[in-house]
Amino acid sequence: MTDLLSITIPELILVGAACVLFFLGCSRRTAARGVAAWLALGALLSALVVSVYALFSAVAPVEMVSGSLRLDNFGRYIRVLGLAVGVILLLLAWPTRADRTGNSALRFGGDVGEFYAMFLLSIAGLLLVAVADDLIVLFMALELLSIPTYIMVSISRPIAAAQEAAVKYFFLGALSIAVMLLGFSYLYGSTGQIRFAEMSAVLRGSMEATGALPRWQMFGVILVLIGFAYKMAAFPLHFYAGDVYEGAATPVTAFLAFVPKTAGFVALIRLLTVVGGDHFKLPPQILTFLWVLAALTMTIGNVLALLQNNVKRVLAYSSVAHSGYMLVGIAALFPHLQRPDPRPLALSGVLFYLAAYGIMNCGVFGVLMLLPARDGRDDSAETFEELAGQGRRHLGLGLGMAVCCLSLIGIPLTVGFLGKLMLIRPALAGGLTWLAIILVINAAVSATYYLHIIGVMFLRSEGAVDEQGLSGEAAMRRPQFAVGLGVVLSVIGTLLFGAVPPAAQILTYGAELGAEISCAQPIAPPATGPGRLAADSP
Amino acid sequence: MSDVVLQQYLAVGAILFVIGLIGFMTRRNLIVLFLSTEVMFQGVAINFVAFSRYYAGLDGQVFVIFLLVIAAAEASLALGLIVLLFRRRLTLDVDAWRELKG
Repeated sequence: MTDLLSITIPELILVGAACVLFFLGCSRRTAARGVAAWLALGALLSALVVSVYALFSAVAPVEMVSGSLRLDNFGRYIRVLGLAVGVILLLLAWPTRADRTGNSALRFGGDVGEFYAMFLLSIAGLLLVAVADDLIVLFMALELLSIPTYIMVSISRPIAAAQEAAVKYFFLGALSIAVMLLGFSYLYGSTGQIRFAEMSAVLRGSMEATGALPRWQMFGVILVLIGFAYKMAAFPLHFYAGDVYEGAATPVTAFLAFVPKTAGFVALIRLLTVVGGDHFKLPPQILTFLWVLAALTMTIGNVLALLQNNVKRVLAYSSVAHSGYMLVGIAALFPHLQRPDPRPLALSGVLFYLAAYGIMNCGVFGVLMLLPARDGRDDSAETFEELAGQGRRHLGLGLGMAVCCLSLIGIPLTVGFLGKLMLIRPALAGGLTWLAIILVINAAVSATYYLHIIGVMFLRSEGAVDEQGLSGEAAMRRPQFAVGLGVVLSVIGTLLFGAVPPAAQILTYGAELGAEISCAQPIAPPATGPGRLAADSP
Repeated sequence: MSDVVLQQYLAVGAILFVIGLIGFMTRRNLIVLFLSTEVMFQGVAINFVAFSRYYAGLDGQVFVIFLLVIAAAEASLALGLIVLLFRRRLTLDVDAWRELKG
């Protein structure tokens, strides 16, 4: 038992820095804009230091006296993960233009303070999702995460496509939040509890009594799962991904592919802990639902990715496919009869894959940012034609892209291979043989478009690069150390965690620590009596 | 509050939600789309208040207060985004926006 301040130090650092950034945003000076990025970096790094210390010195879960916030090892791991990848994402969004109004892909103009404030608030939302211990905090944390992302998409570059993407993202986001809230209201209504500890006791009680969840509780859980699917970019709410990822500036796209997705998985895992308790004793219908969701998400994501001509759209739908892979790990959380419990393996597999995906993803989008567009517009490359031959012209970037793409396919010696291995093993141990087979087939299909990206960069001829294209090229030659550093960090991370055993062991150890998730014990016995909604009345 | 009364409130909440959902799927005007999402939120709010009253607790009502705050924040954001779009094309019709296919 401890108080609010000591649980939420990293979040408070981020939110405090965001408040200062809003004031800095009022200034019109170039110097103030330069300070803004450093301030954001300082906040992320100091929060990261606090969180790493907390992860490796942690013992028991701590919770607030009044409930509503609870920090266990799962939450500590997500903090470290979110902040570490957040630092790389910030490097990709570093303002390297001389007047500090953006970089090769990002053009937020004078809104630099606001942009970084939104960036920090959104990451603070992700961290809060991991420590939420009741429905209200979970809802507020998800909104703290989402609302800044809409604004980031809108101000990321001054073109119509970005604003259209923001509106699309916002409206579908509002729809998904409404569906999720309807699910929350039925969960609250059918259990009478708003805190996860008590709600979990009621849900598990009805599971033990009848062997299944009552109709309304099941309905609530399914609605909430559909709402989370939007955040994860999973079927059935995956279709926005292509448009929104294409419209947003590339660093923001990288942000969207990691932060909301991680939050969706964190919230999903938390919800499954609430429904099934520490041992994930979940009703078979939910297993079937997740099975179908995983299979459809990865297949649809890969098929749609095959059909695209814009590299950002390919990566958008491949990000849908990666959500599907992680859902395989989620489906493997269910204890299977007559087999050893694959649960800790499955959960640490998902957590490992989240980290792996975050790193490779930053690398791919970072390289894309540094390659110039060829039609003379002041932007980075986005289509296959613009990538043609650039791997030979910029050898380092080409190799970085190749490493990250191979890792996204899951070629050995990269972190993506280890990640897929850690998802397939528990799936097989848990008896989900077919799902594992679908995953492997999908990984093979995904090789088609990832290898296409590499092939276009190295094998296709550049075509005629006209004067306009070369002037764009010259503009791109401005040194972008910060962005380059972000790319180098991600490529090194991809190789280091995949090919060097000690480093891989550290990440695995972190993920295993993070798999120690637990649901709080109710303070008071769950409410019963006439107030409780009977199982079959609406 | 008896079970019957609760069911009536829940029915109103569900009907509001479905009206909002249908509006969201069928209307083409950005402002009306936004109103539809608000109607869905209010349907959920009625659910929460009814359940809260049913259990004679305050949890649900606290949730509704937070929900209204978020709805207000989203309203200001939505109107801002819509104004930005309107300045570019001088129309609120969703179909006028086809930069991004899909």
